[in-house]
Amino acid sequence: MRDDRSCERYEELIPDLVDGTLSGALAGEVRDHIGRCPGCRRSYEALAGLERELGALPSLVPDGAAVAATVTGRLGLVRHSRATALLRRIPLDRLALPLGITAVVLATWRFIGGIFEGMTAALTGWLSEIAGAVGALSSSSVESFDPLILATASALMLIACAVLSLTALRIVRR
Amino acid sequence: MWMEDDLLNAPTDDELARRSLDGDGRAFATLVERHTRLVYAAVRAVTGDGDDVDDIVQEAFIRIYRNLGSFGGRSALSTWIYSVARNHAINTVSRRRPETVPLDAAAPLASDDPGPHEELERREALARIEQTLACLDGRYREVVELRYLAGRRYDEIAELLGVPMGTVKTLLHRARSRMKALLIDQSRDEERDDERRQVL
Repeated sequence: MRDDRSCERYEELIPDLVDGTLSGALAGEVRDHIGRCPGCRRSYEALAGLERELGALPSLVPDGAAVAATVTGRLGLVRHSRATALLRRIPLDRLALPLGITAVVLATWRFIGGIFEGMTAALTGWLSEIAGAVGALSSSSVESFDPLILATASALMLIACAVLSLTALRIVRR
Repeated sequence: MWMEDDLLNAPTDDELARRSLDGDGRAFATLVERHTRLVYAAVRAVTGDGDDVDDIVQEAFIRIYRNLGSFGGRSALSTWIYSVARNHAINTVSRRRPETVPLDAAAPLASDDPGPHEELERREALARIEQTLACLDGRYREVVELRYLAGRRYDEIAELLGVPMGTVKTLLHRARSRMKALLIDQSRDEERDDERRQVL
């Protein structure tokens, strides 16, 4: 039996019942009324059905991990760990170019110096210094190196300097 | 138990934002994962359902990343994210051609492989809900999407929209009543169509 005045009150409470925000006693009262009143029951069932259908809305949203992968990809962000992120804070963009140029200039200077002093002697001296620094070779053994081997080694070091500079620049651009 | 520990150890939004600013890409990815549904709700509240929602969402996240430094911490980060995404969606829509073609929500279903019967029913129900949502006025749709799509509580919605919680409740109740009425109309129309088909 529909009593419009009380139905009006219950109609207002039905959304709260569906939300589960009504207190126990009041929820019981509304449920009682719904049990007796076909009009309010239809209203409750329609709202509960809508609630169920709305519950499917999240399936419209793609997986968060997939969105994150696309966004970080578009931003060119590599998903670094915290430690790597700290390393990335080293200002390579400021250091790479001067370091690379210095390395190339030093190598070239030593090489050109070798022309004036006698290529073999210069390269031998240079390699002796390096060998002394790393402790791997003795100066006596270096003196006995073939000039061709020394020239090849020097060229390889120049190439290495250039490759290092280019790699540093590529890291910075990334 | 492990889940509780996991939650306790989960970094806060503010911490993730700080780490993102320090160049921690993984932290920003976590932020994106955490707020994907919120940003979708913000964008869809402005654009409705459309093919370009995914693009606008991605661009909104890119904007969020580029502007992280300007987040002043006066509100919760989620509120700021919501507002950046919403503004981005509004700007994108206003730049669009005015004569946009209305979407036929049923169209994708016709071309897709229906798969199992339940899946087809689920998709139909979803399409129905989307059609109904599209009929709601902006603010109502926004509240419904924040509640159901983003899964936010009433108090969170109130904070995001800068309105009292009572207003959120009222908006949501009205929106649901409107949707309910629309769904009833829709099912009556479908019944009438079925009857007509049977007569013919």
